[in-house]
Amino acid sequence: MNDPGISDQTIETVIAFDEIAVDAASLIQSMGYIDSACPEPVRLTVEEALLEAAPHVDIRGGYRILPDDVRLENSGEIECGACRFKVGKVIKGQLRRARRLALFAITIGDALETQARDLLRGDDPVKGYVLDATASLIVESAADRLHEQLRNAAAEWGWKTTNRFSPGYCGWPVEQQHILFAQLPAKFCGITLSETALMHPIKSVSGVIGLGDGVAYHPYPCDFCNRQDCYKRKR
Amino acid sequence: MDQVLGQIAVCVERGKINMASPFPPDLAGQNGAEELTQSALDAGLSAEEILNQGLIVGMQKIGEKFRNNEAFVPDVLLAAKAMNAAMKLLEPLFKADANRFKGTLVMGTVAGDLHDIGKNLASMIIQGAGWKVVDMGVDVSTEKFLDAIKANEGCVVGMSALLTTTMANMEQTVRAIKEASPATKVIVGGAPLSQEFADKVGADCYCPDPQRGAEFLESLSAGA
Ligand code: B1M
Repeated sequence: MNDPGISDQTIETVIAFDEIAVDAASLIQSMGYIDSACPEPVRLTVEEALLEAAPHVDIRGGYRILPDDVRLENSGEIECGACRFKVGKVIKGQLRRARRLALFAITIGDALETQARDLLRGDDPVKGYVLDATASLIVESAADRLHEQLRNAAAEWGWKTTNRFSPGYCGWPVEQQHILFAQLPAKFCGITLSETALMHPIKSVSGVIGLGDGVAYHPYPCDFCNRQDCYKRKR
Repeated sequence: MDQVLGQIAVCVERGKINMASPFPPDLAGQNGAEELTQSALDAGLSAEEILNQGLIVGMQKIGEKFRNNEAFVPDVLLAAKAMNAAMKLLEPLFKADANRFKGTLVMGTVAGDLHDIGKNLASMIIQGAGWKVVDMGVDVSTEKFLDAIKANEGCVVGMSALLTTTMANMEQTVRAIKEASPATKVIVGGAPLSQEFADKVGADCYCPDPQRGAEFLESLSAGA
């Protein structure tokens, strides 16, 4: 196994709206319309929302690659430097061969969400909801883009990346956001964490990605996680 | 008579606001919830009859479809829009809140939580079921819930939480309400909740979907 001697590094980046992939079809699907036809007014609103969203998003994301080796504890925890994550069996299995951990966080700011909330409670609930769903999809897609940037960086060292995993998913307690954020600079990318582990702005995503020469990215994550009540499984 | 009420229900369920609205395509050019409500009034039906046997029935149908994954959030919002348009005609005719509403629900997202899409949707469906909803917003402390209970005598309380961390705050608030006002019914909802959790904290009803909340409230008003 080669070890390119990756040092502690923290990257903060701005992602342009046109670098991310959100289209009407995935937005419609994210609202539940899979087999059934999406009503015309909703379809039109989706198109409108995608055109209008760009000026209201300010995508800022980044990651820190911890300099320490990743250790799997018998207790089912994962240890990396000062972090002890109770990730649960599913994520632990996926991070098994990771040599390093990257902690990441990304946000699209709160402008789009505020606009969505005002419309939802006011004149145009359908548009408000569609804008909210658009914002959720944008942040997820932005997280994918950030992941891709990390994957490209890792490739330069001859390493690969795992899937991204977030506290609150696959059995990893959401409370552990505090451990994750403690390792990132204060107000990283403009994100703050409340006592209840809620990120502000709301449209933010955080998590970890494993790096190493023996890790793999799994295109169908439901195959390794059997949580039947996960909303992603329903999709 | 029954026919027009049935048509009103269909218009609400399918989000057909008025004649001018082109959606749904198979109803284009036909009367919508607004015109049909006006004809029902002109034919001598009371606002209460139109509300209970027309509008509420339509909302109930879309709520059930939503629960069965046959309809999605935007469909419910379109239905609520049609109902609201018709309600504008009925609103001035209700002489008192008692005729208009089956009861009051004080609704909020618990302390420490800012998620409100689910709460807003549940509020709309419950409103559509004939209840007055007092929306307390997000990050609502126990004290604020207790104050609202005092200000809205006989109300039911609805709470939403989207993270396991804020479920802990929900637990505290439910317990505090039950201590201060044991007769107050509490209904709870939100993605990470479960029946087991609702039972543990002493809530009266767990709502995996808003329709369940509406049904529970209906059982209260039927028993009243
Ligand atoms: C009182 O009467 C009633 C009656 C019915 C009531 C009711 C009250 N309240 C609700 N209901 C019910 O009726 C509604 C209609 O059916 C429903 O309301 P909901 O609010 O559930 O539904 C809404 C209409 C639509 N639903 C939503 O808007 C939420 C959908 C899911 C998929 C979701 C989304 C979209 C998002 N998320 Co996140 N997200 C999830 C959600 C999973 C899920 N299945 O719901 C949930 C809530 N998220 C979760 C997590 C972990 C997170 N998310 C995060 C981020 C995001 C996005 C930004 C990507 C996006 C937007 C979130 C937002 N709300 O703006 C992070 C936190 C964000 C933050 N600011 O801190 C992050 C912490 C992940 C991370 N580490 O980055 C999980 C929480 C798990 C937990 N243990 O606490 C989660 C349950 C997903 C999961 N693991 O399955 C019912 O619950």
